[in-house]
Amino acid sequence: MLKINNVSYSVKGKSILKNIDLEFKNGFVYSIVGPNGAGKTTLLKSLIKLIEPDFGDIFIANKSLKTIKQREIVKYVAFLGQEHLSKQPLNVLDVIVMGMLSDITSTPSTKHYEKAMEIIKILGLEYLANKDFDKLSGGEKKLILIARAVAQNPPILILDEPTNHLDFKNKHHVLRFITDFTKSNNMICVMTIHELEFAFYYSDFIILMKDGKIVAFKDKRSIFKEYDISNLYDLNIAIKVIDDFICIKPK
Amino acid sequence: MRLKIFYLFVLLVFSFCLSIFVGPIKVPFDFWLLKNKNYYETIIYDIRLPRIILSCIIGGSMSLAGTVYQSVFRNPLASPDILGTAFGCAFGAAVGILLSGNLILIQLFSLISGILSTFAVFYIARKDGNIDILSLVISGIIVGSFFSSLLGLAKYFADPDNKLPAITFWLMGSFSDVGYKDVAIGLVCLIPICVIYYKRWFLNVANLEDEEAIAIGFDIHRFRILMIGLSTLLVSISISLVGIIGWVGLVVPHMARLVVGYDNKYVVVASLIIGALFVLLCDDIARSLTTGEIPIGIVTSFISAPLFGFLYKMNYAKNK
Repeated sequence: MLKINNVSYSVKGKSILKNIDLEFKNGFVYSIVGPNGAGKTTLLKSLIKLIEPDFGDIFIANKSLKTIKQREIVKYVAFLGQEHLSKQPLNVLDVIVMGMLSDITSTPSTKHYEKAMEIIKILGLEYLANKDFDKLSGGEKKLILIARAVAQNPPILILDEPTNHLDFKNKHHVLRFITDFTKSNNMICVMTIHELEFAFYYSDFIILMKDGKIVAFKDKRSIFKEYDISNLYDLNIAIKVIDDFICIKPK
Repeated sequence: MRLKIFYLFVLLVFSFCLSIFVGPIKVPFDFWLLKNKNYYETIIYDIRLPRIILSCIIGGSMSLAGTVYQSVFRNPLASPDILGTAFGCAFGAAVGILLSGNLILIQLFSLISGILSTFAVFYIARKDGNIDILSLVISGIIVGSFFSSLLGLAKYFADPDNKLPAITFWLMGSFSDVGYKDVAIGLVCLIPICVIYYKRWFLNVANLEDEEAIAIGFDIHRFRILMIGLSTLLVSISISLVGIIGWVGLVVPHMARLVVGYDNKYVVVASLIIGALFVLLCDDIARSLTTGEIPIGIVTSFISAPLFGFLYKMNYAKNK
């Protein structure tokens, strides 16, 4: 269980997160949706202590994040940021093995490479196994980095825009994998995402965020009925949810 | 990859053995059959062997330091000069030469000054407990310039007949007066070398963006300080023993990458071997090209500068 308790954060007097209260349960996928600059990424970063909130606290399995050392956090949370600028021409498996860093004292052993190969097979990415990471396309890089996060084997998965730079098929592929993986391992997945329809198709709960505040936090079916998305983006949007389908059109 | 490294090692051993016979006095290959065997044995054991061993140790150390700097700064131009370490060491040695000619004293001053300059760089670059790349490079330039001006001052006050030539010659680097005492000091380099070798894979992780590295549970700031500290130790020991041997720390890592690729698991080993080989061969040239001794710093720079240009182009073409 992951709990955010009244967290506030500001930089140079500008407040970025305002009294955030959230609770995440195991076995569910949560999508955070909101306009650019809403504080989504900052909120995610606070979950792995990349930033320290000014007020409030975060609890992972009833343990305050303040009492967990930075190096220990990877055992609880895997985080995948938006931009990855690895310029080093390393082999794909060498990149995935980095996810097992806390288990490695000198150099990764055959055991680690075997596990990396296993993960890459589960993800259906064997065809990338012998390639250099820097020669991959943006989508392939993303998939490999997700494999690296999976290699950390944590109970909580935090993904900052896992779908950016991906084509339509890869978006589905990545999100399908994330949801299946979360469910089958009874994990928590929290991600930010810009596409409302993908948030609807692949997550259980949707969190709407604007100006550093949580606007709404509901299960995906009721949120679009009860909250008018137009207010979130200051744009007239028509949304219709029919069974498992969602239609979104700016008016 | 292991095979390539093995070939390099064989090449090093071969060059090592061959270097024994190279120098102003040619040692014949069948010297132990000759009547004046003792004469040649003295040359080999007392003069050449310590020199060859030390040139390998220092070549490996300087190259390894360069490899580490380039990885943790994520900058292919990073080298001992960027931290101002080279000038810090040089200034200390110059003061040592000014105060007395004592070799131990010169080395001690050089070491202290080198470490001092590195700490100064850290102090200036440190912001809120973290050191980012840009501020490290800037403070390296600041500290380097400061120590180079101090070095100029030391040269200005030096006695032009006696001390000034000694400082100038020392600055150009030389293995000419090397004995087993120096080799013993040089062996201290093995400690940082072993630690860096043990942690070599983490240099790959250090190449990630800070945030990304922290997110996968890597204490990048501590690792960076540890690695820079160890490399600085290597550079200080090297420079205090034989003076400034320019360009080795910059060029050899690039050669190593051209041979074994970018995985630091192999680059670290390759740059140790290639560095040893490179300085060994440069020293062979330095002592045998003319009847006198050419300072090795001149030889390494003369070879390295065009070589670096070539490697830069090659690596670029390879990665295109």
